[in-house]
Amino acid sequence: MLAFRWILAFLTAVSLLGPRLLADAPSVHPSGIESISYRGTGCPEGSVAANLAPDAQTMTLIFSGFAVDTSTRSGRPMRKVCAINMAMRTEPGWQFTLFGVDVRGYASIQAGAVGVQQVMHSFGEGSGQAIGRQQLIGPFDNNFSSHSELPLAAVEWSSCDSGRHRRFHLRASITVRPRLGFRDSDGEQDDAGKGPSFPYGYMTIDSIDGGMVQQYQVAWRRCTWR
Amino acid sequence: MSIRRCLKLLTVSMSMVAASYGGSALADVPSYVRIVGITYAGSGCPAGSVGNNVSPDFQAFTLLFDQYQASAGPGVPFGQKRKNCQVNISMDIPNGWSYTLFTVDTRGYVSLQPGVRAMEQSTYYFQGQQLTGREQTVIYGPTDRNYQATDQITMANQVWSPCGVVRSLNINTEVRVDNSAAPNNQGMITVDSIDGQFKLIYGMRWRRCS
Repeated sequence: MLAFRWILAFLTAVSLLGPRLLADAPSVHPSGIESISYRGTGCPEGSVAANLAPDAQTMTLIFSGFAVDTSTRSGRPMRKVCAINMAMRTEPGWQFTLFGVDVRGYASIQAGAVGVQQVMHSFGEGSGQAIGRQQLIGPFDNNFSSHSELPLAAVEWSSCDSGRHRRFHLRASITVRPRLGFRDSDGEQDDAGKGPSFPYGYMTIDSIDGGMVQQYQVAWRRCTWR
Repeated sequence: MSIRRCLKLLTVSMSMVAASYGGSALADVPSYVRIVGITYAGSGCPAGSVGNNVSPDFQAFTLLFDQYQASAGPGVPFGQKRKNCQVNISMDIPNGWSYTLFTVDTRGYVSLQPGVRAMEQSTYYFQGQQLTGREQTVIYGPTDRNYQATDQITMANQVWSPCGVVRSLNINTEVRVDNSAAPNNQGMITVDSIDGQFKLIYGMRWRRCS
């Protein structure tokens, strides 16, 4: 925190020295999140509240129905997904390189069950890569949160080509299932005699925050033209 | 609980110190603060189930709920044990100020058989930040009554609004019922209303961005 404040102070000091020193840090954010859309079993229309910060650098999504309750299926696996599609506004010559995602939620997982929360990202239509994954092994009953960043080294640089409007995809999912090796024959007959019953789990994502990480000077870099 | 009482005492003594200085000229507080927008969602407050109101001075808001109820007991689906409502508050504050002050009053009804307990909790964070603060109240059965829980975002939690950018405040309220110690017994807790308020009298809760 203190270090961050020093960085801020330093940046402020630098900004007083004039534009020449600023050559490698945009004084006004050259890019931002222009619009957000979402679809999926975890985020049907009308179940999400979205807030985009005025400077377009970060956003919050809050969910009403991003939850699975396997007690309604005798403990059999359940999964919900929300695909979040962001149109990124980019100025020619700049690209963003560091994006942070915070997922917050709650899980109550009985012994013998497992809850998994995962965030994938991609710049195009491809399957993308996982940037955050959290496995909660029952018994567990608490809020959870996870922060993940697309690390600089691993990130697919957002394209320098031209596009003023790049698409950036996040795909968040929650899954609750019996732990591996738990077979049907291990399940107990449930009261109604409808078949085997497995340990239950309830898992929900309350909110997802995503945006350019605050240290803007590392979140952006100039394109080098060949 | 005693910690919270200590904090309250501390807060009171701070405000008394502030008051003893008198005169607004010495009060180091920003010239204005306004709530400019509220959105919310959660399992306890799906769209259409909430009435909301922002006070005329833009310092406070009230949310009224129709369906914000958690319950546990024989035959009750597992996922009913916890309900939440996250409120996202957009603030307008002057440049150069940072704040960490908000009070949330949650009112509702709780009915618990012996061995069942309920919990009311608020967690909060500023948009895009990792740091999360938390306040909670636990209620033990047997009981059958109305309740009120006051959660204060305090300096002790070190959650400050970031400097130099506008970031909304997220307050995630939730209620849970736990009957794992008495699986044959039942309990329920409702949230009927949430009141959120800035209290500018505590000048200590503001700091200048340096």
